Amino acid sequence: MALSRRDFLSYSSAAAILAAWGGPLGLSRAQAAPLAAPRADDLTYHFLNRISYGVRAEDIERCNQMGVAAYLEEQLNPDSIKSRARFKVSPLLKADRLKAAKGKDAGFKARVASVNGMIQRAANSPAQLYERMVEFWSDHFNITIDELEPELIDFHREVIRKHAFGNFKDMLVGVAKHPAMLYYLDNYLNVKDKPQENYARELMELHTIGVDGGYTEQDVKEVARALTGWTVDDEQPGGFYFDPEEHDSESKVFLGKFLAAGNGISDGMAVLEYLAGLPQTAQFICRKLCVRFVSDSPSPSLVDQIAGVWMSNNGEIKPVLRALLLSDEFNAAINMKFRRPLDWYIAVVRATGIEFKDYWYMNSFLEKLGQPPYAWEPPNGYPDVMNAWANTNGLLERWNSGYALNEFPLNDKKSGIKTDLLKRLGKPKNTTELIDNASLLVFGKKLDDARRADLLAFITDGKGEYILSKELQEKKWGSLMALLFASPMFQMR
Amino acid sequence: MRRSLNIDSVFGLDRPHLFEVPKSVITEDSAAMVFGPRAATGPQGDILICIFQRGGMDGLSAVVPYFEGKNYYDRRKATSVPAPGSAGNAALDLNGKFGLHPALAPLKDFYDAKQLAVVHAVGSPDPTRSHFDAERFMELGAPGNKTVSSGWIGRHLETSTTINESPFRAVGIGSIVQTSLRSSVSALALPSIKNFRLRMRGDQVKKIQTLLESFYHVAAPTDILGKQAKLTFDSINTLKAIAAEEYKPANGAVYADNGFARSLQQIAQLIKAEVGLEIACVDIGGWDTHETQGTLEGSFNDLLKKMADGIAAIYKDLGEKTQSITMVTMSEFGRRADENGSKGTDHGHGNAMFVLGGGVNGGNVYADWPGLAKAQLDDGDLAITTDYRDVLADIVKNRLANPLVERVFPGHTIKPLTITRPRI
Repeated sequence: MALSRRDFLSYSSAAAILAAWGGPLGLSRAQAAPLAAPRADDLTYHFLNRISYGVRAEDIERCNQMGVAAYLEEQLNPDSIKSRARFKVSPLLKADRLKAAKGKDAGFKARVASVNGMIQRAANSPAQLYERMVEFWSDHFNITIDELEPELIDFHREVIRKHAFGNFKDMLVGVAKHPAMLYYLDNYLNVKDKPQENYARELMELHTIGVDGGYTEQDVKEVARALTGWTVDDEQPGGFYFDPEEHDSESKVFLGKFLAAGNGISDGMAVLEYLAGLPQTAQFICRKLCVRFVSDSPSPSLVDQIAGVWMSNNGEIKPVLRALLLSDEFNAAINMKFRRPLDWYIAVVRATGIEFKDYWYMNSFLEKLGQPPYAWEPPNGYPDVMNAWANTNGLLERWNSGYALNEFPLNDKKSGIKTDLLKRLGKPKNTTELIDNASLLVFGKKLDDARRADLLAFITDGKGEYILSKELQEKKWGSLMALLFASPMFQMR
Repeated sequence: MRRSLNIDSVFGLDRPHLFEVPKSVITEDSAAMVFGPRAATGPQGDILICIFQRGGMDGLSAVVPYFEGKNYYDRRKATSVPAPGSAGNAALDLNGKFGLHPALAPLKDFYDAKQLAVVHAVGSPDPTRSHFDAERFMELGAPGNKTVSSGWIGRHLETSTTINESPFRAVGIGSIVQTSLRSSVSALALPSIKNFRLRMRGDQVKKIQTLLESFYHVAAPTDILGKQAKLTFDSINTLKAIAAEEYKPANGAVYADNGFARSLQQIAQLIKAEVGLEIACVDIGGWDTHETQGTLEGSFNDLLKKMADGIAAIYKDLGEKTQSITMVTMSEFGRRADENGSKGTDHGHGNAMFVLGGGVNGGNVYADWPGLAKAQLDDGDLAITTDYRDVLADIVKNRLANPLVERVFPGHTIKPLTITRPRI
């Protein structure tokens, strides 16, 4: 079977990269010098790397202080850490969808606010695990932003961000009733005389029990009938309206469950609650969580274990994450995930501190890389496995984008780019320190001797100088960083 | 179908490029690329060049149904094309019923040489008038179905028996691959031959390439990343060789100085370099002519000219090779029969397609013409009597030599057409 061979390849890939890059941690001459960044042991670093968009020095410091378990608890209660945030998102993200839809170029402005907000939060929020889960659910309940820009602002705030650490059933009901999803999958057109099956099908195939969850075409039809009359009315608070006139009030049978005639909106609620509580739903979503946080092919026993936690906690998300992120398989999966383009980009931003003022500049990078936020058209969300992303053009664009990003002047008016990279590099005093500090910043560890020698030859044009002249530093730090971001190890996390 | 919004007002007219490239992104699974060495072999069937006119071409002005008389001319005061012979500058007669817009004159030669077929009242049966949904449905080859995630060309490549492991097997000109190319067969997004390289300072390129080749173990790749890196460098080297020579089009062909012509020229370069190209997709945007569309001059005229000049240039340039090349054009929908109050046309339904190549039964207009009288229109638009999938299926079966057309267009009962001849 193709899958097992692919699995093998991705494992061997990770192993090869580790062998080449994960040098021993023993002391060497250069290491004796004081270093800019605090260090974490491999397991701690792996934990921080997976639950975040890239490890920053302050994360290591805090986690070293608290220990992994306590740090995870803190991450699972983001209200306590949000106050540490040092950035502001657009006030438009607080607007409800009708307000966000008002005014000239409202759609475009809403798009800019959403995409900028996503990047800012992923890059700068101290509540990293929370933002990772927001992204997970945005993929799971994918909605393309085109034509739905104002709705999406509201959807993310009122549904995804509200329930990202909450209970799955609440989120599912919130999604079903939100105008963004009602429009995106056409349920607003689902009426008794002409049922529209788009949402009903995806509700089972993608949102709950999965394509192998055991439903038939007849089940799709019955679920669509149960959801007739669920539509949008701008007069209603939130925009959801159940239209009894358009609801099919006959009885229905789906997945062997009987819905008596004449129950109106309760039909749809019964469908959502039933689907949310099924073990197939636990399996389907927990497997996706394992793929997101552990590896492209998690073991069935891990999925079973996590799905068991889901079932015994009625779809509460925090206990599921706790079990998953403290599992042995999670700990053993160091560097086994391929960074998606957005992961890659934000990891670069987190390492360098690069900020864009100009949305189009940033967006053009993300388009070239292949993952502009909220632009995936099919309802299944951006793919999450290496085989979907590791291709020629994707690699080339990473190499070129990393170079372009790091070749910008440190403060450039045209692109609105700003970075405090030199400060982050800890003002290195010599060439080896520059390389070591850069490696620490990017990988959390120093490189093996062979790689360091390669890089030293590169930044000194083969002369191997020890003295870091101002000229050399200014000319070479950018391409050195670009090389680290282009390296195979940085493609993994 | 989503609630219809006027896209132009949502994004502002200063962002017309939204329709020049598709929003699609990547192939879903590039497993097929992972295994085995690649041998650059050519296709067993024709090379297909697929041109997508983004924004919705006004088929009623491109291929003019002048024989409709009042039914056409009364609806179109500011946007109609005069019947052949009725004015100095008028439609170029095709068959006594339909005429080509004079800006398409370069294509008329191919029609007369029986290499160009015109299909009319053709399109995607899904009623959506949303650009995004209509483009996606058309490219997926599955109108109305949002669960199909691979494109029609992608499925052709998946089901084709051709052994072709060239990284240039399927190329989308642009920074992201067209939705129609999505599948487990990885397609190459190629914005430009010249730019598919390490875009770095001259004094650093070579050093960085050497380091990356060492980092990724390109000499003896053992893993996915290494293999992909090797492919990337191989492609860079191939394209570098192509880009190094100043390109001289053959047979006196002249490519105009615009993005569309440049894209076609690059396709010609890849074809002549015999790098294993089977499918090339290219977009031409700007067809969303809601305002001041014009008739014999103006924006629509200029666009048609750009398209026809580009197609004529590559066709001429490729000379004898066109015996094994098929080109096809499509657009997500046509435009309303009645023009609007801004001397333009709004989103409609039925449209025209062009099929060009050595294996085409050209010199014909293929149209089961539904008529333009009020009762004959579909919700105010030209009705669709030919499903665009039948046109493409005809090409896939006859010219691309792939009999598995049912798998290329799932859920569609294919109606056989005779627009192309089977390859011998």
